[in-house]
Amino acid sequence: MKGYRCNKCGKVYTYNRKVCVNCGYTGFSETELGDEAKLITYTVLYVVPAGIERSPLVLGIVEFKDGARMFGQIMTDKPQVGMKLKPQYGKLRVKDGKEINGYYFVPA
Amino acid sequence: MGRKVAIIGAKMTKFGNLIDKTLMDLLVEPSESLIEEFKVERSKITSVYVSNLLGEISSRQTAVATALADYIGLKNVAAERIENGPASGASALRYAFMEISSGNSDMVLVAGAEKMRTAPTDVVTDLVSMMSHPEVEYPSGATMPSLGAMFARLYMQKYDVKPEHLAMVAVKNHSNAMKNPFAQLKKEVTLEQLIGPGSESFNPYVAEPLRLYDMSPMTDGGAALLLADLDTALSYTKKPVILEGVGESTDALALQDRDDPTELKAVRLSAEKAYRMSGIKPEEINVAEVHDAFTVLEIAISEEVGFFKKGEGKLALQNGVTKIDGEKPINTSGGLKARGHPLGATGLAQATEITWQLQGVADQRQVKDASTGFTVNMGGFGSNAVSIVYRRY
Ligand SMILES: [Zn+2]
Repeated sequence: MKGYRCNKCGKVYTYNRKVCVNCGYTGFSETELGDEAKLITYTVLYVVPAGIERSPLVLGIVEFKDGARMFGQIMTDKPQVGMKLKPQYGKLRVKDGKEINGYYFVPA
Repeated sequence: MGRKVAIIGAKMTKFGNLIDKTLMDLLVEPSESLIEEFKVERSKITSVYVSNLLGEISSRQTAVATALADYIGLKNVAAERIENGPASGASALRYAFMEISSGNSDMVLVAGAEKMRTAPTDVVTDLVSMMSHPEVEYPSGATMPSLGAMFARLYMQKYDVKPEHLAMVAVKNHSNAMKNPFAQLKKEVTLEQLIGPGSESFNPYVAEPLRLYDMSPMTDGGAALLLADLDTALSYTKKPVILEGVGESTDALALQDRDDPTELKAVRLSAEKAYRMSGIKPEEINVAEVHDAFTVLEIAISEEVGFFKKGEGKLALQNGVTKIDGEKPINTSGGLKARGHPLGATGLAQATEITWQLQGVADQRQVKDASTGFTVNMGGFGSNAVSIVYRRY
């Protein structure tokens, strides 16, 4: 997973931003976060929005090294805080008739 | 500082499943009722703000503020719709506050309404989730309950908050709503029903660890307030309610991007701004309405706005401090949880309850001798908040 480190405050994002939400700086350096993430919180969602095909849907926030966090779908029936996960790329949902792809997480 | 701004009066429709009412009905009814009760000459109102989120989809309607001005015969006024997620209502009040305080208008009507019960649940759930981060939350299926649940898991773990504490919020707010003729959910519930053995069928999980009775319902409803500078207000009522302080703050849009996702920084900072402007401290507040879209939020917010120390909100709740007859009554109306949560109208319903409390007309819910009040209305999941401090004249 690619990360983006703010050149001023050091906050690491898992997505490309123009401006750091933490400090307002506009310079970032790319950094490699590896493929190992830890689940820090999650929910099992039984009322899913239109456009989502899985129900129940497990959603969570994972943390890579350097504190880089990412929200996403967790492909497991037994989520647990602290479990190790790895990212995979694929279909997330449908919006206005079009498929949206992105990263989700599976047990490592 | 500009002129003192006061609420002349506040009205709301019954909240609930109002299939026979249109969005315009929900805006017109409380507005007209204010104009009639206070015998306001329509030409005195020079500006109208309408808070509403889903008009396009619920009612195939935009520019609803212009429509309201037309429907109620306000001629050649300024009319604008305000959209700030579920905090639209308090934001609309903030605009009215600035406009009157600055001397640009003497009398402003603020109305808010939402129709949430027309479209299917999964469609409304999707619409509401559009306020999440468009790149890092929405694509994966984030909904407000899912963000609330992820927050709840972290917050409950950090401060040792148990499911029974969340259930206590529901029990209290349902009980308050029984005393509120305008509330949506008129049903007492018990801890036993909510978390006792076999409670999963009565109170199923919606977004673990949150269950059905941890959620505010989908609501149709409308509310309106009439505001003016204090001198003008006094010519219409002996009981104006003064807006002493108004504060707003944002936080990072995505929950994942907040350094400590158990903090509600927008809530805390908006409250601090409002207290500072008002010169009133949190310990001096007599009655408050806070944004309990999820039960856990009532506890967390009660700490963020300075009523209780971090981690002690659950104790205050457990000890009855936040009941109507407690030292710090919270959500006497039933809150979003049981009064109902019609997005665009919610902030105005909160202000309505505080207005009635400070005017001494809250009937069975009346907090004895209440002279100061507070509301906080959250936009998004913690990404925006608007706080207001009120004082009886
Ligand atoms: Zn930075």
